[in-house]
Amino acid sequence: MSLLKVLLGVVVIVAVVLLNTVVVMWCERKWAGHLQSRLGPMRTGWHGALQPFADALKLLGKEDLMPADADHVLFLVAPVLAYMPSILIYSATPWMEQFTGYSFDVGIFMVFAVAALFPVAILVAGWASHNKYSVIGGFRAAAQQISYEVPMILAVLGVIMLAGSMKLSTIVEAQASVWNIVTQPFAFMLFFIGMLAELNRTPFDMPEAESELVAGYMTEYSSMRFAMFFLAEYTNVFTWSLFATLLFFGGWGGPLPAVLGFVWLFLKTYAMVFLIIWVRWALPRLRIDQLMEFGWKVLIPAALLNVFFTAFGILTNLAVLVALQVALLAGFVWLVGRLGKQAGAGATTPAPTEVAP
Amino acid sequence: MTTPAPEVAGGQVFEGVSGVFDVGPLGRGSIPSAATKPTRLVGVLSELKDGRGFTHLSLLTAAERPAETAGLKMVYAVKRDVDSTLAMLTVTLDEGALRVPTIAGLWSGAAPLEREVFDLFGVVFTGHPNLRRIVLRDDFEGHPLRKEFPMPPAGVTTERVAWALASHGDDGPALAPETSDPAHSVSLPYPTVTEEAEAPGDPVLHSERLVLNMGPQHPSMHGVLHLWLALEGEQIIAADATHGYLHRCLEKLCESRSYRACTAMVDRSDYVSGFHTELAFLSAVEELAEIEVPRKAQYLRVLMGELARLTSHHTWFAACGLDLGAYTPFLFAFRDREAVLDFFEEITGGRMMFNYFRPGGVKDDLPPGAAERLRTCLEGIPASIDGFEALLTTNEIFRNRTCGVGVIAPDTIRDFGVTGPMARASRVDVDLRRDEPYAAYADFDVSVPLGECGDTFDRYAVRIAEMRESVRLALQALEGMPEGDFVSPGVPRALKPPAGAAYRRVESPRGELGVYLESDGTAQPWRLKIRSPAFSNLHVTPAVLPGGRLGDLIAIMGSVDVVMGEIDR
Amino acid sequence: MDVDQETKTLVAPLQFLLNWARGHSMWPLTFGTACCAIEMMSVGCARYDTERFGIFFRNSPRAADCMIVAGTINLKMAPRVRLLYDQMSSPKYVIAMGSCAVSGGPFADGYNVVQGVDEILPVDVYVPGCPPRPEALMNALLMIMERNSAGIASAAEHQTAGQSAGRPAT
Repeated sequence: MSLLKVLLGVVVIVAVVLLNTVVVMWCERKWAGHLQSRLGPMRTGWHGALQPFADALKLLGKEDLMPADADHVLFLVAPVLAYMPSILIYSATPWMEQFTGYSFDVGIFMVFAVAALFPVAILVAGWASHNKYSVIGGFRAAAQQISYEVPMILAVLGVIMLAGSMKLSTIVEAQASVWNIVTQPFAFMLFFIGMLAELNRTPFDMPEAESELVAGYMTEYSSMRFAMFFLAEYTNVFTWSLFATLLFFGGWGGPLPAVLGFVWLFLKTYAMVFLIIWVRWALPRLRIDQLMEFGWKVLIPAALLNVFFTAFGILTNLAVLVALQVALLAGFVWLVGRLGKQAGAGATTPAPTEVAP
Repeated sequence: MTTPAPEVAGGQVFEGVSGVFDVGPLGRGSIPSAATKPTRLVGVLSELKDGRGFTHLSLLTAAERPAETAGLKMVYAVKRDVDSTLAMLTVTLDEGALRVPTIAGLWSGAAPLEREVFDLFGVVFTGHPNLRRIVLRDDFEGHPLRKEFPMPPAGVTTERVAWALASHGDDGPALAPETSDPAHSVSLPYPTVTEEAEAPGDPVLHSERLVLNMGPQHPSMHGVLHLWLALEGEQIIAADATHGYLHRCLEKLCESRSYRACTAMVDRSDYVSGFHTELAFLSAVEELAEIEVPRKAQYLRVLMGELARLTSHHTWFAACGLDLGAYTPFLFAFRDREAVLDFFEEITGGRMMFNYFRPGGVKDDLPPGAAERLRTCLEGIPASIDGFEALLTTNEIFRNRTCGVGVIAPDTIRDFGVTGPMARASRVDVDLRRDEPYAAYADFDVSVPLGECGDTFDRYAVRIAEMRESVRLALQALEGMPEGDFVSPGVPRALKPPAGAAYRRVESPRGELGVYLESDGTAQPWRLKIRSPAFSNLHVTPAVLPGGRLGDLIAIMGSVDVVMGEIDR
Repeated sequence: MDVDQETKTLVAPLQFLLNWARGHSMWPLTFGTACCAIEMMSVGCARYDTERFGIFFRNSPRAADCMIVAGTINLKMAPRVRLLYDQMSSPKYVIAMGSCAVSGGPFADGYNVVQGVDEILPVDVYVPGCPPRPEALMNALLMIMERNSAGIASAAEHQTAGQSAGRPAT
């Protein structure tokens, strides 16, 4: 009986995740379109709602190619390895008070451990493709994602300290009175930046920098294997938005009755998804060494500072905690702005020269 | 503003230079021209460059001598920026002795130009470091721009295509140069991929150099450009720009078209801003045929030229943003460009290929009401340029990617013959609209933005400033549009300019665009050479890219603004 | 039911779905050689917006369905065009955009210009013009999508296996 329940749970979770992936894909195309003064998909279903299905089905029907020199086993394994963590992560995710995959006591740890498999998959894909672009893309991705996991984890440490537990549902319940975005805004900023890097989204999308590496690690993949990378990327967008909501925005907490908590959860998650998509289409991308420098020299020290000051704030009182966080946030924004301006010191749009007689 | 000195037809420019003879003006124009022997060529050019300040190599090409005397002649043009004086030099070569010393020791930018002459004419440049074909396949036989070259009667046959498909026709830069004695050849001021690829990598890590092919199909190679790179990890050690994937036999085909038909052909050379090539070509035709252009036509030419500059820079901006990962500016730029393209369509009939300029003027006046609507449209453009700037100019990520990246020193600019916004970004203050006003530019105050240090950000900023300037100049042209004829009356339908040569240059969005035209008195041009600014601009990149990273390469190539149609012709 | 009919009943709904998908999702390869490439970029941009129809430009030939040959092909580029085409996975389509890709265009009598990309690849749709208007290119893309919805095979599939692309012998 309980095995049946487990299987049912798995099916429901996978279905929900896939459905949301499709919705995120649709959102991306539509919001990108509207941000760029155009419409995005319109003809495939109502306002293009069926577009991701058409794309996926079309990809299913394409010829499966593998470069002759590719490493066969690794080439075939990589897409599966890429998609696996995206689903596995949901084993630890709570959706409502009563509905969790499995209530891990070290939920957060589990989440990060599973998420760390994704760069491995990309590295394998890049290497197996036997293509110089793919290899460069794979190396960049591995370096980037491994580097940015550290500030993310450190940022979340503050949240864990506040909740007193690594269990995700406990963290959500601890935000019943005040959301962590109020008590940990700086940590959220760090988490958000790290999240963009984990997702390989602009401004951190060097591994698949289209204008440089054609399609980076995905260059040699066609049909369903390509679709799996594609789906994995969008599933991750949804996953990390969901975690951001659970960790910082009170999860399913809201004015609605408890049984409708998931509505609130989804609304908040999609607000996060919107933010991620907005950032992608508004900003250019960082060069890989700038990316790495930023991660190691700016984010990690900042995240360590966050842990220290959060601990201090917890030991004193809430007001001190919030004040410190806001101060850290302001200081961080100022510092990054200064670094940016230093890079462009003195560079302004030139005024036309005087016309000499 | 500098004005060309009026009486420099030979006398002052070549006075005291030994080794020249036949000093006089070029054709019916005023460019001082002289002839010299191959053995004295380097000496004369050296004297002009170092002794008399002619630091810019404007033209290097060849032309077939008239049928009675078999052989070729090399044509060189050098320019002194300070007073915008041009000087031309010709070297005649007899049919068995098509050899001339290279001038790559004086100007590094001469090296690819000489490769082009070798490719298309078969002239051997002794001492050239890298004499290989540049636009045609390495296994192509013959030199097509020779008059004796057998043109396929019905174009390229299916068998020939099958032969072309059989191999890539170039094994990359590893092919041996034709005939240059390495001991006596000029050395290039930058590393080459062939040398660096074989060199050992990091001794501690025992790494190998990676040879990467970027292009010819590549999202950011702005058309069909092929870059060979020798990489050490992400660091570029050497780069080689290979092109020719769009060589469409333009110059040869123009030799069998009438002058009026050539206007439509040269439109397609710099396809992003066709008006400038049309203007340069027709200015040369008008000089040869001694046709006066009415003032109104001159104003219309200025107006269309500035609008073309605006749309060309829009296209550049779109590509520049896309290269750096900013997708949205691409769409915004194309959206704003469409408004101006609507006017192109209304005025000339075409969105991109115009064929609007005619010998003696333009095809037609502005349609009724177009001037008012164009004015309204142009007045809205500075606000949209502000929008572009808000997206990129002040963005820290963009600045990090572009400031200090790809700095080109003014000496390098001069050495490679780089012109246009790239040169002005490095503070080389040359703009043909202001220095040598053509069309109606003498009536306009052209203010020229200069950069600070010649990095990628400066090239970006100069072009943004030029967009604003173009809007201003276009509005000024509309404001001051005189009444009168839009084309000179009485220009014969079938033009047969008297025999002679002319070299006319305009400031295109990419730089100094020149057309060297030789007529033999018939209805078809004898020789049409387009001095492509993007060609010279592109060939500075092997000197600029090494030392940077792969990410920097993309930013730098985005700021060079290449148009392959013009580079390959 | 005999075997064929059985298969048809099983396969027909799947074929219908595939046709529907291919008729509503088309991923062209960004492959512009010359002037027509600028108009191809315009067609993807805000005014014409091909994405409304599910047309989404991709950079890697492996992920692309359709190759829009926008511009002149010359003898140096020809083997690369063929290589790119071979790298694409089936079903794949080719649009010859512009007079140069259709027949050599204004440069047809050149010593270096291939007179139409159909000397190298099987072409599905020819779009004349120099350059064709963006609407014309959009029409070509939609034409392919409509043919897919109707289940008509691509030009590549119509070719007999082993026969190289080329003009039919006359």
